[in-house]
Amino acid sequence: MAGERSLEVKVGVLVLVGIGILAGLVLVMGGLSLSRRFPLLVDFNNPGGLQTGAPVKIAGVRVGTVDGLEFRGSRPDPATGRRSLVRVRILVDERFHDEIHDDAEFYVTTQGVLGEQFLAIEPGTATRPVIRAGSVAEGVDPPRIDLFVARAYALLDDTVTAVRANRRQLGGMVDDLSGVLHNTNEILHRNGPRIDSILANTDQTIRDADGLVVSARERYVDGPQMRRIVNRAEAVLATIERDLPPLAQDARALTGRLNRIADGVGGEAQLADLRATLRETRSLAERANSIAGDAQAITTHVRGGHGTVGALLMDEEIYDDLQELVRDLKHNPWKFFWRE
Amino acid sequence: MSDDAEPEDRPRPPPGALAGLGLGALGLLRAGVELQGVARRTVYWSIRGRRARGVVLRQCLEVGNRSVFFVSVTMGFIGMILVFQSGLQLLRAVPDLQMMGATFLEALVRDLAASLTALMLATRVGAGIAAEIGSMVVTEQVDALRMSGVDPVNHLVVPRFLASLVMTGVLIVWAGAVSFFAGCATAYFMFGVAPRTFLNPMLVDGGDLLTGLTKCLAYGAAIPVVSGWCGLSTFGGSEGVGWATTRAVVNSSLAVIILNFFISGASFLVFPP
Repeated sequence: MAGERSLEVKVGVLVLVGIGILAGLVLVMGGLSLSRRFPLLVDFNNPGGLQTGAPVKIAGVRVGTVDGLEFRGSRPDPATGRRSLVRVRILVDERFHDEIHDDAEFYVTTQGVLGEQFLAIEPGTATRPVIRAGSVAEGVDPPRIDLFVARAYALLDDTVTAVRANRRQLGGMVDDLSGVLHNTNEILHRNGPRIDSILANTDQTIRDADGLVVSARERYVDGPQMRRIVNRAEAVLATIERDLPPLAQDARALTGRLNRIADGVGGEAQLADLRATLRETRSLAERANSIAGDAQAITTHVRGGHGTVGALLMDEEIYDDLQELVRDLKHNPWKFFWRE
Repeated sequence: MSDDAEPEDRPRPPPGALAGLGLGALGLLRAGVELQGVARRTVYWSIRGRRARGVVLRQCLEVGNRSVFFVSVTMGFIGMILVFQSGLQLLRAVPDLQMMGATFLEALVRDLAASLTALMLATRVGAGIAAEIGSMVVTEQVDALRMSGVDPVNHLVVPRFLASLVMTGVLIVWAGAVSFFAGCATAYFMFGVAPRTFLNPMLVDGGDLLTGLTKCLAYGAAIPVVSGWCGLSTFGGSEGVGWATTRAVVNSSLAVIILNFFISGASFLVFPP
């Protein structure tokens, strides 16, 4: 019986050891953690090869695990309004909670050269508030190496195809380019002193332009003339600003009066009188115009020395005769009374 | 028995190529039928049969505890060799051994621990079962059992089957741990990989664990059934026992390899990497 019991104990110990090792492996595999954990949700459009159970790290130190990945499709999240294809749920040890702030960044990266992917957290700014448990953050998608390689391959393929298809043209182009470079080199070599001179002139021109700009600035930007113009403009503006309200007030009053006048002559009878008056005025003006025309004709006639008045005014001989006559009458007044 | 009835002075002509092929195929088919008969009866008597107290326990001690040293030594050395060789190869490709422990652990859990330990057990346990039952056959003890109305499968194979089902799993887990820690020591002393870095379960997932445990059960069931069949089909004298032992080791190893192929294929389909 004792032998039987010893046998049982031996077998039992071995079985227990086996079960213990298996249980240890399961616990270690599941990311054994005795501390409390809090959940965070991170949205990605493509989290790469991130898997459930992958570690979550801050600065390379494991702080939690990926609890699960949920494919959400393109429907927008009612809470955030964002559209992201995959939502990753992570569990982080409570003791690291104070280190993760609400502007923390979440991104997927790789451990080692051939390693598995894990979720890394940049903790954010220390002055920002601590992130809330269960809140949804937007993750930074990992670079798509596969996409890059595919596009680079397509680009290279297109390039090679184009080069093959246009080999002759490209050869000609290279020959032409070589010729151009050769000629350019020759021209440069031949005209070295002239190019130096051109460069020196250009340099001088630039210096002159620089001086010109400085002078213009001194004269027209910083100078007293410009300052005076500006001062005057300011004064004018100030005057306008000062006088404009009373002017506007006067104009408004004038308009009011004109309105009142217009309202006063608003009756049909008055308008008829006004029209008749205007007609008469027009008739008078026409007559005056005619008279003025006549007067102008007469004046022209007189200036031409025609007629009695014209001769009297314009003919020097008559003027001399009259002057002689007057002088003669002054000296011989009796001639007024003398009759033959 | 009809072969024995033929007179010795009329030797049978050697079979031609086609007849040889047919003979081989028929032999294989007969062996398959006999094996499945033993397996079916083993499962039947495991459920329905009654065993004396302590019979299975003694077999557990025989299959399990007495194999611990052998399995520990072989799997420890295999772990060291695997890590050393894979470390050398890995250093040629990338100068980074951070993930060596994780990949080694995944390979152990998924395949290597179960398959290599089962191969070791096939040599030790399979040979033991076949020799024990085969010697009982040639000394006509099995016939006596049959005459007593006892199915030899129930009496001889089922206790070993039940013991192997439990203890193969335990031994595989133990051997896997020994192999891993031997590999861990090798990685530390040969390549300077810290044990904390080596002990990285990141690549092991539930699929790997389930595949490994399925293999534990399958190998634990296959080794005693195949070895028991080899022992029961022993003929001749002590030379026949020797042949039965050899056949038990070869067939058990083959069964392990073939089962490994099918379980790994199914695991690849169910849990793609």
